Amino acid sequence: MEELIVTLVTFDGAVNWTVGFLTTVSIFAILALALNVQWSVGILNFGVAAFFMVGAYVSAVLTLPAPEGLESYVAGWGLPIPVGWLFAAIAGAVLAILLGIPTLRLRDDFLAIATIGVAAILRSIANSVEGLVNRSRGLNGIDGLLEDQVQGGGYRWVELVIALVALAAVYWLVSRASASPWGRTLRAIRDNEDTAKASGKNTVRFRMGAFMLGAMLMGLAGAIYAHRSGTISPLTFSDLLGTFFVWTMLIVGGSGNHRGAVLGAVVVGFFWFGTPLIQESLPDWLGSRVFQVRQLLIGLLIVIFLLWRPQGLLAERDRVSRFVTSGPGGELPEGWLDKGLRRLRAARSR
Amino acid sequence: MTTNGAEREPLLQVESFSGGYVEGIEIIHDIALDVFQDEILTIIGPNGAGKSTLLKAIVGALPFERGQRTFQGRDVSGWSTPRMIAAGVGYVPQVDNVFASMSIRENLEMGGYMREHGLEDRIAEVLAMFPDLEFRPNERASRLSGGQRQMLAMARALMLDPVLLCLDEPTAALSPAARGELLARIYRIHLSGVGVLMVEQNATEALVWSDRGLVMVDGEQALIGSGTEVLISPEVGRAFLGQAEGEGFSIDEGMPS
Amino acid sequence: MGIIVGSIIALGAMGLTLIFGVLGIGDFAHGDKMGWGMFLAFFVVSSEGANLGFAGGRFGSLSFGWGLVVGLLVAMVGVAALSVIMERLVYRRLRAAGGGFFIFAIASLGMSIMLRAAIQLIWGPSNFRYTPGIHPAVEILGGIRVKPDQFFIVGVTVLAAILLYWLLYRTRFGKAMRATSDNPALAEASGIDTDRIRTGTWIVGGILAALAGVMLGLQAEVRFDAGFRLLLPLFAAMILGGIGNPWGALIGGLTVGIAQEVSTQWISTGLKPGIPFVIVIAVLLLRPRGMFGQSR
Repeated sequence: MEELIVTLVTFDGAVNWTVGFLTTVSIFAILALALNVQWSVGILNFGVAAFFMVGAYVSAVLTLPAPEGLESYVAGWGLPIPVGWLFAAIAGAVLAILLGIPTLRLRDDFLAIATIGVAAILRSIANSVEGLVNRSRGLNGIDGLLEDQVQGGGYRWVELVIALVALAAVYWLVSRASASPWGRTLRAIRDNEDTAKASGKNTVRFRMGAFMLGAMLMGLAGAIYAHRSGTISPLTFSDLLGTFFVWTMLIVGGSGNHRGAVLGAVVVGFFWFGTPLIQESLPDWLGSRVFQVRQLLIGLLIVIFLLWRPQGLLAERDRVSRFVTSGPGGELPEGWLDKGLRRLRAARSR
Repeated sequence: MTTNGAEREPLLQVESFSGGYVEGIEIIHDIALDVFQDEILTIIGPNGAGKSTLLKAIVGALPFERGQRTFQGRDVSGWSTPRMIAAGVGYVPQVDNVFASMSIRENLEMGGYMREHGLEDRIAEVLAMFPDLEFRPNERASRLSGGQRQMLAMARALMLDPVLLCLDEPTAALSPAARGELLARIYRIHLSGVGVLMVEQNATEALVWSDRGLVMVDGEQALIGSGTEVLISPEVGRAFLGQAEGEGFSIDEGMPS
Repeated sequence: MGIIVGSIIALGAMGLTLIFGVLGIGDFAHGDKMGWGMFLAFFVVSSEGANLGFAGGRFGSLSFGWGLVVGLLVAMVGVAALSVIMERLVYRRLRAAGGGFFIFAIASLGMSIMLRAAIQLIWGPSNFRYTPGIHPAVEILGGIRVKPDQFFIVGVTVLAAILLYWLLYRTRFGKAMRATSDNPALAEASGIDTDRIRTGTWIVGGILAALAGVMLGLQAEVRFDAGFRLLLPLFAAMILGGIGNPWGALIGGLTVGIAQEVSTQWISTGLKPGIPFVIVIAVLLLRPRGMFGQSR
């Protein structure tokens, strides 16, 4: 994704930069929303890049024509792009099921390492298995949606509209999902898994549902990205940009709040993609190191927001953020609150 | 053992005492009780009455409390558990009350972590009180039976020579035989000069060994009296312990057994 | 070969599992702490360090001399200090605010990014070696060729494991660490100063991470993301050994290392990093508490 930055600085004119920026940020906002769907039920996905990558590759190989010359990849059926998108989302969901079965049921604290691991594995598979996705050469010449209908340089605007429409649709979808009885159950699970379990809800199935929904949206974002950038390679889906960057967006914007996720994407995205614009005007000692400093700040933002503004820029409405509902630090055994509340309820019901 | 000596000084006293896990949600209300060194005081009551919560509040393991705690004439309101323990209160929680992955000996060392000196001597003394533990100090706690674990938990709490031992449902999840043995062991510890305050679900058995009983319902103190008084009081049985009438009551309520 | 890599993984995983057990933190910055250890030692043995008079000289057929020994000490002190600073500035505050495992994990991820960026900021993205030149392997029994440095790596691991055993089972502080890992609430109620135990655990974990990092630099290249790349094997070794169980982590580390090397007979080298992942999933499906049990 680094190449994207280069594209941005070579655009002349603020309008073009803004169009490109908003398109990219919309895609990241979809990732942040998708991550929020998972995180808001306490699913710690450190492998956003994996789902993003799977979606991008699946859509790419399905819509690309059959490989020629040195290229070698599977499929290449030249399917219509919307079909690619659909299968990208399905692929994300399938990956979620595969990862969710061993982790969500048994040790969901290991989901984080399993997901960070699967991202690394997928990259190394893409890099080293011949005939799968063209190895490190990557896939090139991926068509954009409606690209053949548009003449001249106006396609950038079409890309922006596509990304914004997709973002709006995803936003609508996740908002509807959160407001539905299903979403309320998910929140109940997040806030108190034991009680939700006791009330007879199958928490594993509900959480798996949230994991899959988020994964589908990540896959979709990957497809949109692939068709927008036209070229993808294993390097595109680094942990830093594919995963950690999205986490920073979510933490900065405010988790548990869909508007916060979008705001976080815009703010952090502006910080990240805007940095190259000011690089020239920075003093030399800083300008030459600006990318490392930028990366350092991405990590720092996570820590700072967790410490001083855990609810993010936009606090969750009506509900206290999960970080703020605090138990006493280590003085009591686990589950003390549940036990207390259960006792209270039992006493009341008498 | 009910020495009704005229001017006894209570070991521990709480007055207009309330508390809960979260600010604003009180689980226990307005408790007043005192415990003397020469007695076993048992708190009984139905499930969810706040018995364990009261015990936790007394040893300073509850996040929110209101009212007064006095220990050996000193105001200890708001003291944390480590401070209470250092002051001479032994506390045995109901569950997770031993270091399961550590040996019996190591458990005792940890119990005596705050001791400045005499650790080895005290370990020997405490081990001598529990024949079940004495001859295999290197056994891992996780390999002990339920009753032995409970004894280890008490032994651990005795490491700092407490004058008051607070036990949270020590006989829960034990077989009837083990329950009897454990209560007898508690009584023997008491005879060595330690006041005992315990919460019990198996009320009949526990009250037999107790000097006084306190009945709690809905977080409030309903009755306090001598063990026999509480034991034979038929209203107590019906109203508070949810038992059918009949001779006494076998209050094994809430126990799956 | 597998034993060498396995030793390095084991060193890292022992620290990781201690931190997970005692503090309840899955430390995603552990790999990058190894990276810092690696680079702090490199700082000492590289030209800047040479000016301080440490460089030069070699021990027998080993590839390094006093420079690396001093570097190792600097790395251990540095990474331990780094860990303690993180505990004081970040984890302690998050804990006081009621943060749990997930919050710690995200915070450690943030710090992992920072640590890695800081290495690049200071030393740049290039790869380095502690001592330039080729270090020939010597033949031992059965025609297996081993570099003298590799004996050193295994030796350091064995020594670290013995010292860790002594600490955890023979000292009051170490026993209190195990008690805190086993049952934090009871440890605190017993008057164990859990705050000090946490700090001590970070120091021990930091020292082990630094050792692992320097050994990794000695075995392969000194490069900014070398530690981070080892994160998955570290976690795999920890999970395999059972969380909070350093002996499990030791055996788990060796297992992961050997499995990685042996696997290259059947699968392409590029897929080697998949082995730890497969191990994690297999353990989760078969024995969710790890092959060697969990300390709690």
